[in-house]
Amino acid sequence: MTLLSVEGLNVRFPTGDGTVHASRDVSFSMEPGEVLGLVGETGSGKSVIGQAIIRLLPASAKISGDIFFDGQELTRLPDQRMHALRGRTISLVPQNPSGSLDPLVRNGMQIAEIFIERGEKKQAALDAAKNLLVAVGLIPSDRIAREYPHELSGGMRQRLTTSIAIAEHSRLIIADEPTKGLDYHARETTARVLAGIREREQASLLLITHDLYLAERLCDRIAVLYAGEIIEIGPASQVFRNPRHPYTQALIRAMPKNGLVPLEGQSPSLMALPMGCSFASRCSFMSDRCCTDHPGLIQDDREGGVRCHNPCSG
Amino acid sequence: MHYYLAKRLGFLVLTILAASVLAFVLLHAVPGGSAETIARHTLVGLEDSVSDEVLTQVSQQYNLADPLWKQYITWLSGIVMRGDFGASFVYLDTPVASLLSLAIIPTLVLACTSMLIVIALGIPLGIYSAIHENSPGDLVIRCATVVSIAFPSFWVALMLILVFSLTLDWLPVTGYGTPANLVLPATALALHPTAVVIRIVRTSMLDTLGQQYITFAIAKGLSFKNIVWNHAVRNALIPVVTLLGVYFGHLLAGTVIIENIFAWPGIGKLLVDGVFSHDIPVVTSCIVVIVTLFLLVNLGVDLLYHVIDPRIRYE
Repeated sequence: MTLLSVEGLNVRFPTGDGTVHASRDVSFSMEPGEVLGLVGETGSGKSVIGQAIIRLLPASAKISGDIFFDGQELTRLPDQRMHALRGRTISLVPQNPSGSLDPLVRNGMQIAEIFIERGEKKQAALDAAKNLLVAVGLIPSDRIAREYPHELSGGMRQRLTTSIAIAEHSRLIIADEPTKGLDYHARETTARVLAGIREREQASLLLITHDLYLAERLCDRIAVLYAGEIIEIGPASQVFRNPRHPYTQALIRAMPKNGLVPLEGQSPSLMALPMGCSFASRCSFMSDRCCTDHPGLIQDDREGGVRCHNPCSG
Repeated sequence: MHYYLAKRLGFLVLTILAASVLAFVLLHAVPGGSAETIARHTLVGLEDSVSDEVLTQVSQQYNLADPLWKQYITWLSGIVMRGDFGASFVYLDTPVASLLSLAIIPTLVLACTSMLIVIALGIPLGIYSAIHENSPGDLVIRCATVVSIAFPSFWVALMLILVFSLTLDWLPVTGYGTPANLVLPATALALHPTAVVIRIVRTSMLDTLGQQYITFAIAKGLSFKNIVWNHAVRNALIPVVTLLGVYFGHLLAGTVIIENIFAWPGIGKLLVDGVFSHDIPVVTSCIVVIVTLFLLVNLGVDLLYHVIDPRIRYE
């Protein structure tokens, strides 16, 4: 039984200078308990997909396509029913934990207000919040619950927002760049906390990241995004060991452990996308067809797909 | 915190002292403080000549023969030791302290009433305007604030008198003593600050509503009401507190024009009357009192920050 199915999702932002096509024909699905990684560089449209699922995009965004979650279509769900899903069934680990915590609210209350909203008594809610702090390794929980966000380190704030996301045992957790801006130690801790969620919560985790190490470590499947499109999707082991799209290959070669080989050029502007393949101008396997003909996502037999006219054989 | 408070109070005292020196010296440099002028204004007519006997008497009564620094010390030690601000040049034998104590209550009543109007209207309307951005209600409020900011308060005061006192005959023109007397001056004073506060609250609310912690609060599943009141309003009001403090200081100090239009017997009116009648002790003392009130309000606002914003810790 599929938990989440995104079908042909397009997100456009009209601006004064033209329309930014942030997400183009994105389709993927997730099974219960699965960890799917959305990887790609900044501006590839990863976060927009997560925000579209939990419906936090600004009102100016033009969304088309379908997002089925547990049988319900989310993009057309009435606000009241979407509100009931947020935090309880679908939750978010936000990008930038420092900005996502109200500076005037004590750490314990940042979590406890969720339970209070659902009718819990204040003291019971705070006790439950302290248990969650312990669960993500924020101890001593009594002291940390009394402190304010500015008294925590970046890594601790990241764990605090993560604990908020798991507060109600959501079935889908969207983690948006959970390791962005963290030092090595804090990244390790975050990875352990996320791995712990995977084991304990049996939730599906949509991991949006540009941190390939984190993706390799946690994900069952990987979708690689480039210029708003999924250009390759497949089991994590396959994508990392036998990447088929030239862009995926370049990404993996650019990892420090693989020699830190940089990829020349820049991704195209989302306001003026090329007619053919978005990656053509940077691709060393480019043929004439790549410049005129936009490639579709070719599904192959190994439950994956690649959007390329000349894919490398795996 | 105690150290911070002690330091702030120390600076407060130094500032008041500096202001009192300036006020004292500058006002004594103005012609009018001589025994002759005082005598002409009070004991004998302006046109008459003053006898030496009277001059000596006046000079002794006000220590005018002493050098200026000695006069200052005498005046200051009187305030510190006995709460005695000296004697008025005009109201013979009336201590300035009793004039001040008569005037300070009306000023406080007027300033506090205006402040209540500013808070009670400015904050809710600003929040409403931000939450219903670009709605008809928001547009009406924004237009009203622009108009209110454009009109000077003395003109507003005269128009209020024209409409509510002279035409409709609902409220008395001038005077002091009943709540009805308070309505027009308090409204005239509150209008401009209320309009500014509405605009600042609105801007601050819109800024806060765009913050990531608001987006995350939505993702947490919190209700709109909860998000607005527990997160947005609290954060949005921090810069507003500064503004309210400044306005309260101005209301305590700068109600000169409005007090004179409405014949409100406050510090502002005492000050202006003192200026016109060359009553230097009254003017100097009014300045010292106004400076003190302003500084105390400022200190209060800074201490209030400590309560409302946990990120601020004084040392």
